[in-house]
Amino acid sequence: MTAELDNDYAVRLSTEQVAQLAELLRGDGLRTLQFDTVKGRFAVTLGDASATPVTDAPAIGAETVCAGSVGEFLTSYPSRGEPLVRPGAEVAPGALLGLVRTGLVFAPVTLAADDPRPATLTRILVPAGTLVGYGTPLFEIQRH
Amino acid sequence: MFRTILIANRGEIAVRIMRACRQMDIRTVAVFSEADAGASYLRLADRAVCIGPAPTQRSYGDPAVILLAAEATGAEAIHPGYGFLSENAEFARQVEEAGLAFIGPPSHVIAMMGDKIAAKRAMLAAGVPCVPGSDGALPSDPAALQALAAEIGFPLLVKAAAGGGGRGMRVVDRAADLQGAVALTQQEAQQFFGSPEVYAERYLRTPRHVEIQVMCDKHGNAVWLGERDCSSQRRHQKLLEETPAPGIDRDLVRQVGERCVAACQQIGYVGAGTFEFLFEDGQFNFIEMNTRLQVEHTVTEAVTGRDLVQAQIRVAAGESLPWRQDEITSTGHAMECRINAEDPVSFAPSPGRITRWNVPGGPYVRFDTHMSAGDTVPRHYDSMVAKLIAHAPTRAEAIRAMDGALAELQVEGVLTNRSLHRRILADPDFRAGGVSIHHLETRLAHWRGETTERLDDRRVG
Repeated sequence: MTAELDNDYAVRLSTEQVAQLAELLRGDGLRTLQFDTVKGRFAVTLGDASATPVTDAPAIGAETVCAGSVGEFLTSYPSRGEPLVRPGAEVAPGALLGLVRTGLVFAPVTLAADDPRPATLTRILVPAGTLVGYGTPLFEIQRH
Repeated sequence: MFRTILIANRGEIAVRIMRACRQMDIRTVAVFSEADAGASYLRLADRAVCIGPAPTQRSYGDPAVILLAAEATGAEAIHPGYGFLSENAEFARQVEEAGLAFIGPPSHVIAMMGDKIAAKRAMLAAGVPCVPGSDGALPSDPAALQALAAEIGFPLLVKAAAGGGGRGMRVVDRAADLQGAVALTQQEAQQFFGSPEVYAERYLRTPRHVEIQVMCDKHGNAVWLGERDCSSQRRHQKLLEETPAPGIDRDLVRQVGERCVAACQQIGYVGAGTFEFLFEDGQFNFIEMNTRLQVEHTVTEAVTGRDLVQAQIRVAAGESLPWRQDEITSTGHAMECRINAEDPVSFAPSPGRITRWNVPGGPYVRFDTHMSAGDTVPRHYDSMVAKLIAHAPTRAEAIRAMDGALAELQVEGVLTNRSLHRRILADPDFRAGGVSIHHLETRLAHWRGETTERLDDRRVG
């Protein structure tokens, strides 16, 4: 079982409380419990912890930027602590948003340049360090 | 032993490999394409990761993305299953170069067996009986070509050296047609397999397809695990397989099995392999070797009681073969029906969402599948959705058990070939045993006629 907290840790629960939630899910034959707060989303998922990366679902109709390859999702260069981009930032087409690391290879994740409009990065959907696959939504954006 | 194995495949064989790994306490990484996203069988893996879009060449068939996924997930070994990259020597080489274990033979052995001329030479050297034919590529000189053809005898088969699986070959009935047929096959061979080399063999008219299963380790140990009769085919696609092959002298099978083991030891073979033969007039004739696990390995597992996938993993990890030849015995008779999501009359694929999925069980029955109600059969891949295996003390009982199990299988949402299998089981020639590779096609043509007649009757009525 995993408990996913959003990047601002808006939801704080003790491990006992998480375990209780998991017990409730199991009893009701459910797999996932998820709820939204002002600051983000909280999800408890039963079963194979790593079977599929637990991603924060993008808002309905929102545009997303997805991973193009398999690897570890990074929001900053490993040698620098500074994130490449933060939620709320304005980003230009072609801008580097994140990286997907596989071994020694760092594949860039960029804002598609086929749409010339800049955008605001509204949310990062996956915690840095998560194993992501082809097509995993990583960023939620809002075009201007 | 490996801690994590990446399964570079999909569907029922991915599940089969996951089961073996679970028995061995090995973690599994499943890879999937967008077409398989959400498939229920992926939950059986410890980890599942999407590697690309639906087309094979950008997902299951792309060596680069498979290697990336292995690197990203920390897998130490890759099991290729069957199909896709399983017999791709270049992929095996890349896996070896990346410092990972390829669960199969060394890449240079795959390359040798992929070259049908080199493979045949190796078999002749090891004393494996082969179809009489040219020693190597055909000569370009017309007179020499005709002389060679006369020596082999007509009808003969012109085959692409790099071909296989029934592709890239042409039957020549008389000397006058030879030159043209060779030129055409060379052209096709260049186009489809990237090499114009062709060779010739005597064409057998009504052979059976009988194959020998082998397993070898890295220490020079090798065993053979009986044979399989896979003569029930349609367009070179096997539909129903069984073991033992009905009516073939056991001593002859043993002799051929021992020759196969000797060949493996000579070429430095490692892992599971299958020697395919055409059997006619009481003789085995080698056609090609498959350097991977076969779909129909299940019937061998049934009669020998041995887990072939676990053994593949053990020998790839450097362990010695888990069995000696004198420990391999065969009990009873086993049969496998490939359940495909397709129209049983037109054979058109029938992709879609499965709404009902009731599977057979009970004594003598094994059912290997990756499907559940609610799952989707994607249109992008092979249409096989399950393998139904019956293992009983006698062939007659195995047929009866299989028919009962087929009757129990209830699938809705997609069409399946279940009824076709029941028809085959009821066919008197099949029941007698020992039909040739052309038998099913002949029967199908006959049955199609009957179906049309019945439809016509209905229209008139």
